Amino acid sequence: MKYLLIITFLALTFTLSGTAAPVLGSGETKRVVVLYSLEKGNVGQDRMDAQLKAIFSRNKTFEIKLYNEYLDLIRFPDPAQISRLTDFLRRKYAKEKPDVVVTVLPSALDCLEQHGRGLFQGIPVVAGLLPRDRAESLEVSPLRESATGTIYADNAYEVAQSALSLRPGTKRIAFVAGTSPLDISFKVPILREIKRATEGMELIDLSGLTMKETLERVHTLPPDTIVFHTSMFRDKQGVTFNPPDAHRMVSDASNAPVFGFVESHMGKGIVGGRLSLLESHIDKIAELTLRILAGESPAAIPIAEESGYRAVYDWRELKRWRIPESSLPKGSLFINKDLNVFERYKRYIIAGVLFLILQTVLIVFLIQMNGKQKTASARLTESEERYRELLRVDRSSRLGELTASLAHELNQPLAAILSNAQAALRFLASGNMNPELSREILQNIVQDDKRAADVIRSLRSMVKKGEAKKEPVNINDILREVIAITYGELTAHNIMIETLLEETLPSVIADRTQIQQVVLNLIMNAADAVAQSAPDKRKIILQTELRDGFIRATVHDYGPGIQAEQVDSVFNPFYTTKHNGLGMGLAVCKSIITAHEGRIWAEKNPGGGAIFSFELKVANHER
Amino acid sequence: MRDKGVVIFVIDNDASVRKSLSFLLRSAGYEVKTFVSAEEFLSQAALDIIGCIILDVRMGGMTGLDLQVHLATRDCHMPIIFMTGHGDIPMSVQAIKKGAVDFLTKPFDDTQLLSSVESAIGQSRREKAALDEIRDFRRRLKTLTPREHEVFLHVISGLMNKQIAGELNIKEHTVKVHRGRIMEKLGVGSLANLVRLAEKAKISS
Repeated sequence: MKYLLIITFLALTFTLSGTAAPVLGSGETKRVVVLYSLEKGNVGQDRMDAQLKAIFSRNKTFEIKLYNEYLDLIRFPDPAQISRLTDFLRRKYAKEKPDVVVTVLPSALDCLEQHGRGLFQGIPVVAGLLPRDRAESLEVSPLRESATGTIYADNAYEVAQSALSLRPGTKRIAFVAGTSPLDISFKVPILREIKRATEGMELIDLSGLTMKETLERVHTLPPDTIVFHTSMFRDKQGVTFNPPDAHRMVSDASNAPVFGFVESHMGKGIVGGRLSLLESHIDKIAELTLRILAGESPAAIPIAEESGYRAVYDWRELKRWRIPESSLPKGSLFINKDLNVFERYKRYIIAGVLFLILQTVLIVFLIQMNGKQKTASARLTESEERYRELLRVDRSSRLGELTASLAHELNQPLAAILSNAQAALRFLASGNMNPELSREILQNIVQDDKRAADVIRSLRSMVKKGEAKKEPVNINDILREVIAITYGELTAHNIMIETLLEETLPSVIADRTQIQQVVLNLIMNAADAVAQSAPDKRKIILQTELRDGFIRATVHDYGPGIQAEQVDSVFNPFYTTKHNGLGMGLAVCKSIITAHEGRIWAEKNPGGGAIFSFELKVANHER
Repeated sequence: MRDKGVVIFVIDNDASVRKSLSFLLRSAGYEVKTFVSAEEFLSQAALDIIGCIILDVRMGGMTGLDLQVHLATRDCHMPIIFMTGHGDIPMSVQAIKKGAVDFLTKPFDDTQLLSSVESAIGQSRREKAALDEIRDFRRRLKTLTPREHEVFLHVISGLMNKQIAGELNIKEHTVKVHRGRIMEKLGVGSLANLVRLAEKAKISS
């Protein structure tokens, strides 16, 4: 029922969001297609998607539907493939034409411009995250009529200057970049700016190598070198990388500090500086998109200069290259910064204090327990006496008599069989055996054996013949009585007894003493079963529940358990696994429960051990 | 057959036990007689022979212990071997105190039973010999004349010939003659033997 409600609710919500939502807005739905240059799953792109969704959802003017396309241009640069891709997109959006197309990184813009051939013809474009040179080429392109954009990573000059101030003795500059068009489009303006900032220094250009070569080279750089690394989407061999990972590889291999340009590469081994902040750019892209949707002409919107920077440094890299904190600009942020003693060992200090508190509590608790134990041991002695009394009562009870007479009844035929057989052996040994004699002896043995079997067979009826005093009894009361009696004994053997009794059980018509006998037998069997178990398994659980007019009582133990083939035979007389057991306990239980028209059975405890259960019919309950 | 005249009596109300013990004892060469109850045994069996009685302590009617007490009063010198279903400790203590030679718990091994039976028969033989001697003595005692009997009583009470002569007011020589005849009639060679037998026959002056 609960699930049905939830499903109905979900269905309603779905319907509402699908149809009713546009009505709630201004009535105008705008479509924005975002063309991502990279594959789906790239961390930066995902951040962008989440941020755009958040911004667009806050907009109350339009209902903006966002469509994402992941062009995967680094891994699939083949022009024929790109042509097919653009063809696919043209068909896909032939009817559902977008109001604005956003391109992310220059590759997507290239794709749109060069291979588009009518893809999103005339539709306004926001070209996000462009390197300076690409932005300038857009400025003079016919596409500018319907496009604007944002400039990204235009901070190379400042980054280089700040790097030099951190490493005043620098004589050489190494430069790392990948081979893909995307790598190159960022590399060109950045390298130009670096050259400008490091006028007169030796430049070691490591761009356009394989990753292997790059790593070897940065590992063996001459002294007083610093490394600038823009991006490596692809190396000379055509192997593609996720640029942050490439940063990590280069930094790890490098024997000189490595500098990067964008904040999203922090933490991958670059020292830091005044870095381009992706979040600000996304804000800018969203802003431009909304302005266009609101009716502004893209041509009238200047391509946005870079605005969002953050001065951030990696503390670990500063330490690695022994760059003093004093050489950093004021107000810089740090990642991986060492914490002071409390901050660094916060967890240990808190744990230590907690430990001391716990210890104190424990000591107080132990002192209290000591007192309790004394009173408990006095109570234990008392209940032990009660238990002994019960055993005495039990011995004199009908069960005791039954077993005594039973032993006698079985001993007679057994003794006779033995004597007969041994007599036959003696006759044979002395040569006095004759067919007549052997027939007679064997007949005796057969008779005696049958007699023994009869004794066992008659056992159940012996219990039944007893005069049961039937009265309304509460099974829970009986369980509690027996627990009270056995508690001392169980505690003395470190056996826990837990109860899960269903309250307000109806009564059953039964002989109280006999049912007590059953429960006592089951509990003592369970206690024997768990006696050798590990301390945490030395546990018995008693449970009662009402089920379809029957009261079911269950005894769980966590002892060695019971095999599938044993579940029936355990109730047979003289079946025992104990060295000193008569094997009568469960047979008597079965007789008693059967005489009460109930059911008793054993099963494996899935959690280990055995489960013994019996069911008795509720008084006045008809089925 | 082993010794002629040796009989093992098995008393048990359980036919299986009777039959099986009978076979077992016969396989060892004994003559066996079986009885359903103590009463049947007492009414039919000859008690004055060498042998032993094997009986179950738990029987209807006269119990094993009752029979044991009864036999003691009838000069029966056959030892009793008790059998029990399972350890009736108080009963077995009582039985052993009253002279049972063994107490076997069913089911028992043949060697256990037969070694008990053998030692019981040995005991029976010794007791019968002793009893026969006393009976013989009592029979001979009856052949004494009144005067000889008088002298005999004084002799076993430890008086010297001279004292006896004084007591009976006869000559010392006459006492000597009587004494010689008494020894001859009773078949004893020494005064010490005479006193021992008189004591066993419960004759006092």
